[in-house]
Amino acid sequence: MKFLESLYIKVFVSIVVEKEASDVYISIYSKNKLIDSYEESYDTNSIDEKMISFIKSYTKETPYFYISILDNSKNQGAIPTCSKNLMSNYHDMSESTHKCQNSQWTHFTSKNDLYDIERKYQDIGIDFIFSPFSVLSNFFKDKIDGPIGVFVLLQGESISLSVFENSELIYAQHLDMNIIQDTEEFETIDTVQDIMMEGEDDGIDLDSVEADEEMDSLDDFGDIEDLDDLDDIDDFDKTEDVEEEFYQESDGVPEQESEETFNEDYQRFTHIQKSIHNFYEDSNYDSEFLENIYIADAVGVTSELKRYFEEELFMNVYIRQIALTTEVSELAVSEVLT
Amino acid sequence: MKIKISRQNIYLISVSIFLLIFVLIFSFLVLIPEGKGYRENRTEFMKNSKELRKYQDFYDKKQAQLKDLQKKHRAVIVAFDNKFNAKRFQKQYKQNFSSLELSELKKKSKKDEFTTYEVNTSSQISSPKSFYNFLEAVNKSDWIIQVNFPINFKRDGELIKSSFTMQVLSNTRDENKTKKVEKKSTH
Amino acid sequence: MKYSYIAPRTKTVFTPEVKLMLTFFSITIFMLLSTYAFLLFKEYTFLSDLKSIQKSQSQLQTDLSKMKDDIVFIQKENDLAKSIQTKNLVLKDSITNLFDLVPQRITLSQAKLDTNSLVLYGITPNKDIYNFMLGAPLRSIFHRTYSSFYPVGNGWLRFVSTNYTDDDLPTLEGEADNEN
Repeated sequence: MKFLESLYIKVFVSIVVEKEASDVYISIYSKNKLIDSYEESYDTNSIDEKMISFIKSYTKETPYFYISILDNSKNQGAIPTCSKNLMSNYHDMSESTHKCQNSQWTHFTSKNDLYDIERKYQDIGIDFIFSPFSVLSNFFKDKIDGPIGVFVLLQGESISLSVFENSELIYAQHLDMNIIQDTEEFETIDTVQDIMMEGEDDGIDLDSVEADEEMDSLDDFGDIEDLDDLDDIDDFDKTEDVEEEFYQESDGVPEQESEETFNEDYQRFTHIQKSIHNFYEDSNYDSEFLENIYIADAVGVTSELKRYFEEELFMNVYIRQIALTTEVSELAVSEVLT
Repeated sequence: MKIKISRQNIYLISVSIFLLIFVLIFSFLVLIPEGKGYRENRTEFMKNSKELRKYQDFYDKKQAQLKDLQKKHRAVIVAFDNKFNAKRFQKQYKQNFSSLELSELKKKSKKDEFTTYEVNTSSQISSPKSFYNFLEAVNKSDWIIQVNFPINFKRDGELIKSSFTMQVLSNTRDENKTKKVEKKSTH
Repeated sequence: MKYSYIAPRTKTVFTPEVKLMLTFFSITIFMLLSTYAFLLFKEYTFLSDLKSIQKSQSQLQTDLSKMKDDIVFIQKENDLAKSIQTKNLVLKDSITNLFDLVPQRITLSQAKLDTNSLVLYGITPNKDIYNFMLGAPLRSIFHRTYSSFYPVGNGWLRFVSTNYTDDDLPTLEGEADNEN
């Protein structure tokens, strides 16, 4: 059988579903080496004919094909224990499937959502379903084993936040921007109307909304003027990542923000902020002061986001671009080829 | 338009073709000559067994013929195989003679499978008629005897002294004894 | 599984099509091989049967030749016996003829028969009777005839008749010339 296996190529299909689009990434391995890759995007958030034919055109080449998908369930997360007794402290696992990593932390997701995924893709079948937390911890594996830091995966419609220290998960939360966005949207609509009536520019609206919430937190951190201190600037210089430099130098940073991206970035920031707050407040978690935040950017954020963290939370921000499909494919490959 | 066949199907087709070719080659290079050989062997076998049957029939016929002959000529065969016994001869043919004496059996000649022994006899007969009877009777004896010259008749009172030679033929296929007994004939 | 919530489906090279093809071919090849084995076996049996047939045939041949010899021999024996018997009878007839030849008036005292000769001793009343009644027939039978006479007391003659034939064939078989 091993000999027969080596006669065939292995095809890994990775599907990442965003808002209204699905990215399909195909990587082809021969004798455990990557020989080819293809990527396509389809306007569907489940599956359509074109996607099926695209995938099948590669999977029919070999019996050894593996179709992986990134779990986008709303009811998923991760907890810092593998012991069944302690799990119930963090989350009710009666409706969830969970998996232990490193004998230290567990990621979980809703059983029904898994069935939904399998059912949705029954035309092609699913071999692997990965948690974004696995992707995240694998992506930042060089940083996770260091001092405590926040590791965040930003997708189009969800945020996966985790706190790692010395390769151990301290805290994690999966946030869906859609749910909270509803409440936010109402407010922004009001403010928009205000703007139209008053004719003020955009930034001011957000500031006014923000001022009500963030006043307290700002007090905690001291005056805004402190941000202009040279010391802080020096800190930024020392801890800058190479990727971050590259990011800033490339023209990937949209200097001119549209209203939407600006909104989204801020939303993201607020969600993350909320989650961090939750981490500090919740007695279940041993909270420490979080200085560093590592962001895996799958969606394309502006430099504004970085600024938010730096100015408002006084955190060191390191943003790495992540190609989710490639990362999912890497996980699948490690499941099969090692 | 380029027809794309998946690698799996290519493997499948190539293995099928390979096996098909193997089957065809095997059939043509191995089976058909073997089949031909088989048929040849079979016809030869049939031919040979037919011939054998013919032979067998012929043999059976010949055997029947032999058995028949053996039955028919049993007396002759036995007579040829019999070893000449003077005493028995005397006993058997005494009635033809008033007296009968035999000399010893002497090997005279050998030709092919037969040896001729000679016996000289001297006898007395009452009349030639008994001699004629004897000559007739000797054909039915236990041996193959030819009465031969010289034949002498001499009147001796009421009786006739006779002497003659008898040649006894014997089958030498299993006889290898020769008796040498001398007895002078009375004359 | 290291990361995935679910385990992958089993991947096998032996898809239903592959299994079907392999089954088909294995059946075909099995049939071919069994046919081949059968043919080989039959070849072996044919050869061994042929050998045994040849053996029995040669055996039959030897037996047949022996039987032929036996038949010939028996026939030879039979012919020989018959000829001997005939000779005996012929001898008898000859002797009968001979003694029939002798007329009443002549009395034989001795007769010596041999292959090509006949010697008669006897008494005859007179020469004429002898010559007429015995001598003449003898002369007609034999090639050379000699007779000598010795007178005996009462006017009768004793005669010695020696007769010879000169050819190889025994001439004692002949017509019964009965003059008397």
